[in-house]
Amino acid sequence: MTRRRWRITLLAALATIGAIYPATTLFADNSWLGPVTFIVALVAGLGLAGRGLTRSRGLVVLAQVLVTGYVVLARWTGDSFTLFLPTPATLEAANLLGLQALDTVTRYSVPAPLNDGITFCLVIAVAVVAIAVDAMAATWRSPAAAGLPLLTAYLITTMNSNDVLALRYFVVPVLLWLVMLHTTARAQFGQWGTANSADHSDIDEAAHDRDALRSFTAGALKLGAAGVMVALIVPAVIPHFPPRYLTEGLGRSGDGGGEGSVGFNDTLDLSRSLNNQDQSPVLTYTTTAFTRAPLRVLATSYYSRGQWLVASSTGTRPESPPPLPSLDRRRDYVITVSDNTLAAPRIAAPYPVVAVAMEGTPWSIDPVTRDVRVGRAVSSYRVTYADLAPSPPQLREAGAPDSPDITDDDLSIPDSSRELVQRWSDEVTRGQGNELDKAIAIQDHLRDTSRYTYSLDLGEPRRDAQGRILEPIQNFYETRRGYCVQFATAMIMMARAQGIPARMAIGFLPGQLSGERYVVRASDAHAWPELYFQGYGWLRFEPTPGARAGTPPPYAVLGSDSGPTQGGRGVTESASRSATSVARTTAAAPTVAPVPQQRGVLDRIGAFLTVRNLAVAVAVVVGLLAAFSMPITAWLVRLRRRRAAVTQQDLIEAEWDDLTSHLGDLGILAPDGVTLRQLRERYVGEGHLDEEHATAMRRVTATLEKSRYDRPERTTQQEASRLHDDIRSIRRQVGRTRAWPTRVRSFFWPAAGVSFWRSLPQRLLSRRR
Amino acid sequence: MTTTDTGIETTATSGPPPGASADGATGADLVLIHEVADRLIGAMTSVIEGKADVVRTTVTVLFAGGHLLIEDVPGVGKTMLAKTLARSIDATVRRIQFTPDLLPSDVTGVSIFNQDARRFEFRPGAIFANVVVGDEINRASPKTQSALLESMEEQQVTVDGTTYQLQTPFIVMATQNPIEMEGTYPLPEAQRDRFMARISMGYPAPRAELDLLETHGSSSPLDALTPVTDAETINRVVQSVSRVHASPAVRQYIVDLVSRSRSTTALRLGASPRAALHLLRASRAYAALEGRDHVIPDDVQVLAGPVLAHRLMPSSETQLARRTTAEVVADLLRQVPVPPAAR
Repeated sequence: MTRRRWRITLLAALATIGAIYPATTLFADNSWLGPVTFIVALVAGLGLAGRGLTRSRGLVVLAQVLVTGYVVLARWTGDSFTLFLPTPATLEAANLLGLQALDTVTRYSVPAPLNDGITFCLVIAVAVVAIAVDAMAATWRSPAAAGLPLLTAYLITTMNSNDVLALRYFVVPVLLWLVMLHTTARAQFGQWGTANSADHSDIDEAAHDRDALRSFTAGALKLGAAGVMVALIVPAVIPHFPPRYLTEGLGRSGDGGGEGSVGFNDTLDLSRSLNNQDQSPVLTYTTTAFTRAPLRVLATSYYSRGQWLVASSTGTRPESPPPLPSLDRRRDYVITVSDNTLAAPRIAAPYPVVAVAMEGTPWSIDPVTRDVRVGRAVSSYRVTYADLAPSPPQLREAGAPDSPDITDDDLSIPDSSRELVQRWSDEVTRGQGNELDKAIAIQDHLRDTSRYTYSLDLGEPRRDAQGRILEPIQNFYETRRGYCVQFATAMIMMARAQGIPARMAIGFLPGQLSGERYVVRASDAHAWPELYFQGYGWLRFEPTPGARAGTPPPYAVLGSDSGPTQGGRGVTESASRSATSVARTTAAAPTVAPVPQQRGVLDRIGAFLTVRNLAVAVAVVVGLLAAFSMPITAWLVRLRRRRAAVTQQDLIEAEWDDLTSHLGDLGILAPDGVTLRQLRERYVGEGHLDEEHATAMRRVTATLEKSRYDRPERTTQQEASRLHDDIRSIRRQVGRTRAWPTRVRSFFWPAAGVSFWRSLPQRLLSRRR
Repeated sequence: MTTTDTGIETTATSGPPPGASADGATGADLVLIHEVADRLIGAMTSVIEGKADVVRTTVTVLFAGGHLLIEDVPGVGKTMLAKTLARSIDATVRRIQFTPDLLPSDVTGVSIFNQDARRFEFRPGAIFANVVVGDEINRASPKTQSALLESMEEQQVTVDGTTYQLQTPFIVMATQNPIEMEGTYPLPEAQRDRFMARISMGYPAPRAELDLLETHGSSSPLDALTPVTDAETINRVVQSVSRVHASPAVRQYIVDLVSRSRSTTALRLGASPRAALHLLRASRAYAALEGRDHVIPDDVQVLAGPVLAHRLMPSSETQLARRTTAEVVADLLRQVPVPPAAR
């Protein structure tokens, strides 16, 4: 046993290192591996020693936490110790290290440079994982649970890594984990064996053990094979499985409402994101502008396999953003944001940003996209932004786009959809001579609610002739339904097909007035296309119709010459989805802002009591009744039989029939010509009854035998009631030894209930006769 | 053979004892049965080694008041078994070696004219004993066989118009060799029906055979055997056994078994009502032997083979399939539900 403990501890430590190792891809050099390995070894050693000294598991973990914590603090913040003990200064030092790490992580993309702060945080994280794995695998002897912290450690790397991790990074920790499982299972199995052979040391016993082990192994192999098959088949059936696991979706708040920051990740999955209906506020702001523009968070040109990804630096990047048009061709406004909960490093601001003011927080502007990035989350800031307000005639004469600002990504169309997009785009822009008219034609085409439907529900993805799921753009073309992401993507691709550089911008709609300030909620998250016009840069368009969409900017409205106007073509699709906050901004008249949506309880109940919901409820009830019809029948039959019992013998027989029928459901059948004693042996053997329940079984058959074959008056009341309890405990015990599908089937499809329905026609016929 | 002719009790003897069936077996009955069975089985197993089940069935038949047919190949200890049982009981024992020229009167007895007394005197035959060992019964002529079998059933002998009661207990243990068929007269089914049970010895297990070579090499263990019980005790045991409780469920089970044997296509001739009666009696004895005062279906199942198999006639399909009636009985046991099976 001690050797096994050694082995498990060692395996746990190795698995921890194996799960942490992929993090080497995240950092510039690997010198952190040394201290991390030391810490893992320390945790393992402490665990081993602790388990040898005490039986209290909590104590072992406590010792691991305290000693490891002390060692880590002493190594990295040892200068602040007094008399070998940490002081408040230690906390400060640790905090500084943490801040340094945070700064590094937010400032640098992968691979990040290594410094003391990063190493310190890594060591702490690894120590937590190592203690968790060691505690679960060795201290509590359930290595299966240890898979969770290992997986978490692995996922942290995958989530932060930009590339696809090599398979070996996954295989090694998983193999170690499996070996761990195997070792513990073997040890536990061996314990059963020794407990058995202590009673009767037969030669057969060993052979029996081997047989049992073999059948166990065979079962495990089958399970494993099934697991591998499922792991291979499921991803094949569900392509476009989002590769981000924890923080998917835009503007999704961490805890589903209330306080808490809203995070943007760098992926926008065309088929999933931006359908957030969370009403929690993200930020509030005031603006000096008369017209409110959407608040942009980030922009990206890189589209790949149905997703918009924020590409890491590829190729040459300009040092600084290109200069904005001169002051006479633009107007600057100031937006003052407060109560911002957007997670660092992003902030929301109208485009294009001219200047940012925030107290003491470092910030930078992405030279290509002009995204503002901040070092840490800020609750309030001030941004000066420009309103370029170009007039359509100017834009029409802007000429062909040619600027270092434009990359290949801005014009690329996915191969799988190129043909379709080209055809579609040509059709829509037929007869339009210049970029602006083409763009407006595309926008208005998409905003036409007779052609396209705005819906958060994308429905089942379509499949092509080969049964593969369509590329999202094709899917949108087929289904003609979607929300902002689909519309914006379609416009971007169609614009690119016409040679207009286009990219995806993600951010928030301008929000609604609440008191003095505008409130932007998580559900205001929005996506729109930006098209490049020579001399004016990236300009916003608004192809999304109706609900949860913005107004097209003035230049994008046919027939307007300049200046702000009432937007679009009056596309005011009624807000059929009442839960969606409608943000149709009335550009010229902010005074007619929509009424805040305060809905009464009665309204909510009324909304719930729709025909559809009622039908669903009825269907659920009927379905439940149908699913439970057999157990209910069996229960009723049993009850009726008990009530009909006249003598004690009848009652005992009813109980016994109950047991035989239940055990029959569990797979232990009672053949016709079997006597009670033979049946008893069968139940004890096949039901894997332990000594206690075997004794109960013997009591039951003895009572039954007495009741059946001895003189009736000899069976006492006491025996009869004892029988009832014994039968219940036997039923439970046998149930425990069965596989769960058998148990589920025995519950939902009991022979007692089924036979009632089967014999019903016959009984009805005989009664009529 | 220690054959002591101890008079002939021609007087009417014990009918059923008062309150035999109504009251049920008492604890004292069970103790008695258990004690006697222990001693008997102990004595017999000291001679017949490695055949515990055969010994047990033999004792069961003795206690049930039936007769035993031992059928097997030569040399496996048929006669030894019979002799062992006979020797274990302090009672009159006769052994008849059946030959084709054996006359009925040799079995039943004969009236001869006493010159001195000037009258006919009855000279009892070999059957006037508590334990009668009939060796190779199939070698006797049918006439002699039927004389024996008639007296077995009736427990009395009628010679020249006078009826003589046989002694109690009265057990006939006949052996029969199924292999050597030439010059034999196999018992007809009707007569086999008189035997409560048929057992076959079977070859001993290798180890038992080894022991046998060791012990039987020098002297017969039979010589060392002394009686462990007497005729009177056996009589009381037989009466006690008849008081063992057989519940309606068990009786129903026996009837089910027997009637199924009559309807099954595997048999040309099913079990007789007498077979049912014998099965019940044997089951009672077996239950008592097990220390129970009530019969359970397990007892019936144990004895169904020995009690039923020799009375049944296989159908031609069964014969063609080379299946024995014992196998058919085993099938019946598997098919007939053990009552109460009503759902």
